[in-house]
Amino acid sequence: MSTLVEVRELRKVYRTGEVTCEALRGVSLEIAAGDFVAIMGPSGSGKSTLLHLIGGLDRPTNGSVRVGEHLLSALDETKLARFRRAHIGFVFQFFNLVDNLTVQANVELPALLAHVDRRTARRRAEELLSRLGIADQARKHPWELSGGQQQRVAIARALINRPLLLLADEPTGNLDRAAGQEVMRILSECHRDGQTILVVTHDPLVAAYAGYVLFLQDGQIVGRMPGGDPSGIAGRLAELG
Amino acid sequence: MFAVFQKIKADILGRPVLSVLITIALATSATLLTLALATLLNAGAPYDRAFAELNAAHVWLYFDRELVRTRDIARIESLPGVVDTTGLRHSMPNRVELGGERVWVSIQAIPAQPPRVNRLMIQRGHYPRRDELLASRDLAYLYPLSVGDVITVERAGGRKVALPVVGLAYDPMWDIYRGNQPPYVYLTEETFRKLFPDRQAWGWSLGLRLADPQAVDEVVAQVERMLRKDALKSYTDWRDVKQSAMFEVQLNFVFLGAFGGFALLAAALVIATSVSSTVLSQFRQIGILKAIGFTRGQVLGLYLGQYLVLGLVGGLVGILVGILLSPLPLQSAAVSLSTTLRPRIAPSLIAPVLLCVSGVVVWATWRSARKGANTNTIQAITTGAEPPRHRLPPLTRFAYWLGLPIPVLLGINDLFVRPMRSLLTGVNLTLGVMGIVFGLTLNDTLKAYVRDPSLVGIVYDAVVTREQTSHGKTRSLLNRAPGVIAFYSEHIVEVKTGDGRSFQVRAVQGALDAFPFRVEEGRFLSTAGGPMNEAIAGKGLLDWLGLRVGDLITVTLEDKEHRPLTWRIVGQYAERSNAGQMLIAPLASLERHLGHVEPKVYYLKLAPHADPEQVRRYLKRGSNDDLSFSLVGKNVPESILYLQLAILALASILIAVALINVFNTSLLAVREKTRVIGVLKAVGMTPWQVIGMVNTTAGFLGLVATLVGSPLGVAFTHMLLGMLSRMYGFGRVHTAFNPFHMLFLVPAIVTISMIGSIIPGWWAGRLPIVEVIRGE
Ligand SMILES: Nc1ncnc2c1ncn2[C@@H]1O[C@H](COP(=O)(O)OP(=O)(O)OP(=O)(O)O)[C@@H](O)[C@H]1O
Ligand SMILES: [Mg+2]
Repeated sequence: MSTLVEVRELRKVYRTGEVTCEALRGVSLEIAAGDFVAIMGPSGSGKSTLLHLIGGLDRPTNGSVRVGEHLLSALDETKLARFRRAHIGFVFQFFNLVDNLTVQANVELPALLAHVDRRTARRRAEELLSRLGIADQARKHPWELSGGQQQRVAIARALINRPLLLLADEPTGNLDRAAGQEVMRILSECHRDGQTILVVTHDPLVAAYAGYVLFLQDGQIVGRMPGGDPSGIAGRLAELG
Repeated sequence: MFAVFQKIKADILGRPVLSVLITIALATSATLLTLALATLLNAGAPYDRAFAELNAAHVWLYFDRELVRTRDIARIESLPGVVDTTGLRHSMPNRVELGGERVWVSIQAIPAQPPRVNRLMIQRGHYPRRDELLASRDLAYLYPLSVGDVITVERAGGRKVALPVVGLAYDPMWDIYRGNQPPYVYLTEETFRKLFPDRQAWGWSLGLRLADPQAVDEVVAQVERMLRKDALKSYTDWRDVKQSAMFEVQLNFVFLGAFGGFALLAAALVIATSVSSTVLSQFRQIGILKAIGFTRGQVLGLYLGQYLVLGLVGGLVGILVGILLSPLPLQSAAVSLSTTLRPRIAPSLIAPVLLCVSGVVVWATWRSARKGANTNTIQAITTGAEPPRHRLPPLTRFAYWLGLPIPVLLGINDLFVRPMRSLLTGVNLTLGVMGIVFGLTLNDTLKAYVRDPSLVGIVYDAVVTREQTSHGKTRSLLNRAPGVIAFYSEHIVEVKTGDGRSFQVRAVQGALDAFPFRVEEGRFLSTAGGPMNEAIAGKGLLDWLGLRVGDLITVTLEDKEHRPLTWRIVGQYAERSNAGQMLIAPLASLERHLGHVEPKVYYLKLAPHADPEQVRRYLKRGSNDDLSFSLVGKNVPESILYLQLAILALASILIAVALINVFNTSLLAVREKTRVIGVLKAVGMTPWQVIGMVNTTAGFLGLVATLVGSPLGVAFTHMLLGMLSRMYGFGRVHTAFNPFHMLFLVPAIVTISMIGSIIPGWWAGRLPIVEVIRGE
């Protein structure tokens, strides 16, 4: 399979006044198109930072990120925004839906920002919503939905522009077990349809859905193992402390 | 208490830009209010000062020459209460020629040396010597005239004497707004006697200085008792002259006061939006403050205190600036009276302004501050402040249906997230728009009036007056004159109503149909051989006498009290003089009582491309230089231009305050929705789209404000002008507003409003996504 994401020697240093914090210290990795990858690691190990850099939400201190043929460091703010809306789908822990828009409008939003015509955007949103089993909620507002339903809306929103890469940061972190399982089932379904997915999680049960798991510690990749076996993953995580 | 002060200080310093902007807005309104008050309190000061410097007379008496003797004058001068006098003054109503125009003036004889009482203020040139002439500056105001020009005095018998104008003078007892007093020119007593040797023709008058300046009426009553009936023809009271002199300054007060009030309201709006959002954004903090022991009163004091501090600082700075600028609105009066003026600044000036500003600050802060003080501690700590959730309002759904770009859509939607705040900002912008529209409407209205003087009751193009030439000859000359389409003649008659009120009637004769008389109500006189007893009246007369169109009016003529005369008032027209207290009636209806009358004044309508000079020459030649011809001027008075400029300046101040409010609102909105903006950016909104979104909110407010404010502004102007016009008995005003102004006004206000949100928009466009998303 072809390489979709290529991360080289990625370093990220946060500076707050006098204090500097090195969140990533030279991370290199490659993700092939169609992969389903989980990233695990202790709190503060740099997982979210890595995800944000790959998604073009922030810029690295050193190193490079390439997604498809896009070298992110070569893009200015506007082009980076266009890159995000065309090729990246984000799913956050706290759903981050726009409260004043209906479910349908939330899902359509990235498509409309990308100047997809209205009819197409509407059709795609309806398709996605019914695929995720929340077609009947389309006219409601986010605050009228349960957490699991909200996260499904967020996934629909992430998928509407048919991104190259779906990035999820603790997508189940704010959900109960059942709702979390449901979200992961949906993600694996997407993976089966060919979607490349990168998910950050604390939960071995969640990581087990992935094809393989990368372990991060103190801003470095310290290991890799196949998915599938929650208890093996849990053991490995416990070793990292 | 100390804790509250600490917190107030921290809060103000924590929002430096906003605090400064609010202080500026408050300072601006305090400045305008100070200016207005200083103007009001000192309106009479330039006159008082000139009056004192010139040792002016408190009352000026005009006598009927045939009914008084020099002995009477001496008795008047020695009346108790009279402290000084000008001595008997001689004058002569006469025609003079200046720059091709022939004008009626009153020629006044003055002592060879400047007198003790009622000196003239020489504003240009010098006091006249033998065979020199001093003109009143009011003459120079009406006709272009300067020192060095020559004025030709026509003496009885037609002999002319040319005299050089050596100076322009201000007479503190000549009342501009008294229509029937011709402008003065002054000669020394010696020159006067030489030119007008016929003593019987001289008019007599006398100026008195009184021990008690307010005792004018008593002194006049004494004089009337002392003299034969009607020997005192008229008199001028110094208080009336002062009123006239103050008129323009009072107008300044009205405008400054109105705009000052507007500006204060606008500042209140800025405060209201800002305090409500401060309280909201500090919701959680308030909870914590209360949890650590702040009482309700302390929280209330915290917010009131923050804005009161700004109010006090702004108020004091504004008052100071106002005091520094206070000579400006009085300048026109001071300059025209050649005095310099530094208005007196009394505590009575500072206190009300400061009170007003602080009061408005408290009023604007109160609601939100109380809401903050009353917050439920636990709830505040747990929920914090998020914009309220709501469904898409119909307008946004409509915009969506229209297919507007998504940033525009979200921008419009933001208007409804905090409807009250949007409303306040919108009202603020609307005030600014109203100010601008006020200026524009005034401008258009004036232009319309200048273009069509019939709107102000000037229905003719030129006026001709005759002296020696007969009525018949004049008429036949006018009939043949090139370019004269039509004319009518007029004879003014003084009449009295049954209850003794007297007014003037314009008795007219001729081709009235050809003139665009402006009949506001009812109809014009039926000219084609209709009934003789019809008349039309000015609004002022109708109001004064309590009559309406359709009523009968019965009057008597002087010396013919036993033969009353009745007209039916068939219409109301725009009368330009005497506060509208006049009547137009056919001359024929009066001739039955007056006998045959030969008018001396003729009003002309000229052909569109007629050459007035040619008409003038024709009449001059035909009448052996007896007929005088003057064209109606079509210039906007300078004072009005100045007023417009002032109004536009004031409107810009309002717009500037509105700009502050827009900035404030957008900044607060952006701060409140940083998370949403972060999410939008994460899903691919470009920085420009974010700026567009924030600008749309402001631009849309500007659009609505213009659409609402323009008709309101026109209505407001119409109301104000209507009120002024009713006050002067003029009748209906026709305000004009060129709708094409909207073509520039809409984009201008939308742009201005968007400028106010550019910095917050730019800030939002650059928000770092990661930090915003992480910040939860
Ligand atoms: N904006 C920032 N400024 C300063 N330090 C930061 C910033 N963002 C992250 N860090 C630091 O960088 C390190 C990595 O943070 P990151 O959020 O990537 O960790 P994480 O693995 O996602 O942790 P968690 O599992 O708790 O979400 C942490 O030590 C964090 O404190
Ligand atoms: Mg994280």
